[in-house]
Amino acid sequence: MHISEGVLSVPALASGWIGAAAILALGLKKTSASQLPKAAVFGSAFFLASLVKVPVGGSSAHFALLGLMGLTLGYAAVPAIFIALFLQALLFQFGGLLSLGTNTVIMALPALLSYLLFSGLCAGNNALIPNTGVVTDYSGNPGQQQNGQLKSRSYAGFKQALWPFIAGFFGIACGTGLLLAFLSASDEVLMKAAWLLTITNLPLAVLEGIVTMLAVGFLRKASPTLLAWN
Amino acid sequence: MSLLRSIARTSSRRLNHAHLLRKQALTICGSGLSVRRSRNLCLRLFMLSTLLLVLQFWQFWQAGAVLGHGVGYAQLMDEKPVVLEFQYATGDPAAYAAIKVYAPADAATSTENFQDSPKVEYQNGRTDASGRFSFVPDSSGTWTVIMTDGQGHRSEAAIEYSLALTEPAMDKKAGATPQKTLVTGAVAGTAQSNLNSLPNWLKAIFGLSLLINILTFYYVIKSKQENKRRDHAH
Repeated sequence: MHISEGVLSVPALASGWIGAAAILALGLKKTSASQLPKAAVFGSAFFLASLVKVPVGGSSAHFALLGLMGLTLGYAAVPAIFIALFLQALLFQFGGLLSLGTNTVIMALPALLSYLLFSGLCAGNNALIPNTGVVTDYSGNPGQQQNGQLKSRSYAGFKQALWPFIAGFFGIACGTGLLLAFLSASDEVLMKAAWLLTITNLPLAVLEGIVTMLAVGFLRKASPTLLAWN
Repeated sequence: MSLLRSIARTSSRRLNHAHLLRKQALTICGSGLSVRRSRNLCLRLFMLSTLLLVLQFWQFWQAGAVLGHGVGYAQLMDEKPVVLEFQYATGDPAAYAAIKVYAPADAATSTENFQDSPKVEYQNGRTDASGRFSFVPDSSGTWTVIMTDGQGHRSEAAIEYSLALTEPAMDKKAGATPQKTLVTGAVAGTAQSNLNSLPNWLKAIFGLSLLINILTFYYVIKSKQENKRRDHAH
C-alpha cells in the first residue's frame, strides 16, 4: 500500500501533499481533545498492523486496518494515520518522507470515507437489535409474524456483521484505487505492476473486512463508546 | 532513619501509581473514556513513553557507535567487488528487482530524479533470488545503487568506495608486478541507516513511544484551546 520515495513524479507528489493538507486540516478541526487518547491507541494498532505480513500468492501484503480506523476514530483517523505513516517511513522505510503526502491520501481518505459512508449504517443496525419486531422488511407479512420476528433478528444480526465487513473491504479497495490513480498519473510503465498489485490486494481486502467485522462486533459488546458513532 | 522512611514512602506511592495505571488501562478497554480519566491516562502514558524514549535514544547512541550498515541491505564483502543484499523491512529478500548503478561522477544527478536521469548508469541488472547484487567499481568516491521492484518499493544505497593504486614504477624497480591494491571498500552509513540496523521490535517500540508522545503533545495543546474557548463562552 505504501509508495516509496522516488517512484512518483513531481506533480503526483505535489497533488498528494495538497490533498493530505486538506484532509489533515479537516481532520484536526473536527477532532476534539477527548478523542486523542483513543486516536493514540488505534494509531498504534495501525502502526503495528503494517508489520503483520499476509502471504498472498507468491508475494505478501500487509494489514492496514483502514476501515476499522475510520469506524472507531472518525475524523481523528486522519491525524493518527498521518503520524503513524510518518513514523513508518522513518523507521521501516515503508513509503518515504517526500511521498508521505500521497500515502496519507491513499490511507487516510479511505478511512475517512468509510466512516462517513458506513458509520451511519453500522449505527442504524445497532438500534435494530433491541426491538427486532419493528424491522419493516417483515412487518408486511402478518401471517408469519412469529416466524418473521425470528427471521428478522437473524437478519439484523447478519446486517450488523455485514456493514463493518463492507467498510473494511471498502477501505482497502478504495486505497488500492487511489494507489492505482497516483501510479498511473505518474508513470504509464508502472501500470502493469499496479494491476498486479490490485489482484494481490483483493484477498487482503476480504481479510480486512473479516478483521473489521470481528473487531467491531467485539467493541460493540465490550466497549461501545470506542466506536465512532457512539 | 528519616531518609529510609521517606524512601519507603515514595516506593509505596510508586506501587500505588502502578495500581492506578493498571486501573486506568482497564478503564480505557472496558468502559470508554471520560474526559478527566482520559487526561490522567494521557499524562501517565506520556510519562511512560518519555521514559521509553530516553531508553531508546541511549540504545541508538550505543548502536550507532558500533554498527554502520546501509539502507535496507547488508554488505557481503570479500575482496574487490561490492556485494549488496536488498531486503524489505519485513525481512523478505527483494528478488529479481531492477538495479541501476551510478558512478560517483553521475551520482549527484541520478539521485534527483530516477526516471528522468540523463546520465547513463555504470551498470544495470537485477538482484538474484535472495536479493543479492554485486558489482566492481572502477573509481573512488560515492557509488549510488538504486533498486526498484516495480511495485512501488525503492531503495537507494550510497557506497563509499576508495581504490588506492600503488606506484607502478616503484613496483618495477622492486621486481614486482604492478597491481592495484584495495585499501578500503566500506559501506558508508548515514544517521538513518544506523536506525535500520536495529531489530524490528525495537524500532516498533520506539515508533509507538514517539506516536504516543506526539499525540499527547497535541492533546495538551488542543485541550488548552478548548478550555480557553469554554471560558470565553462563560
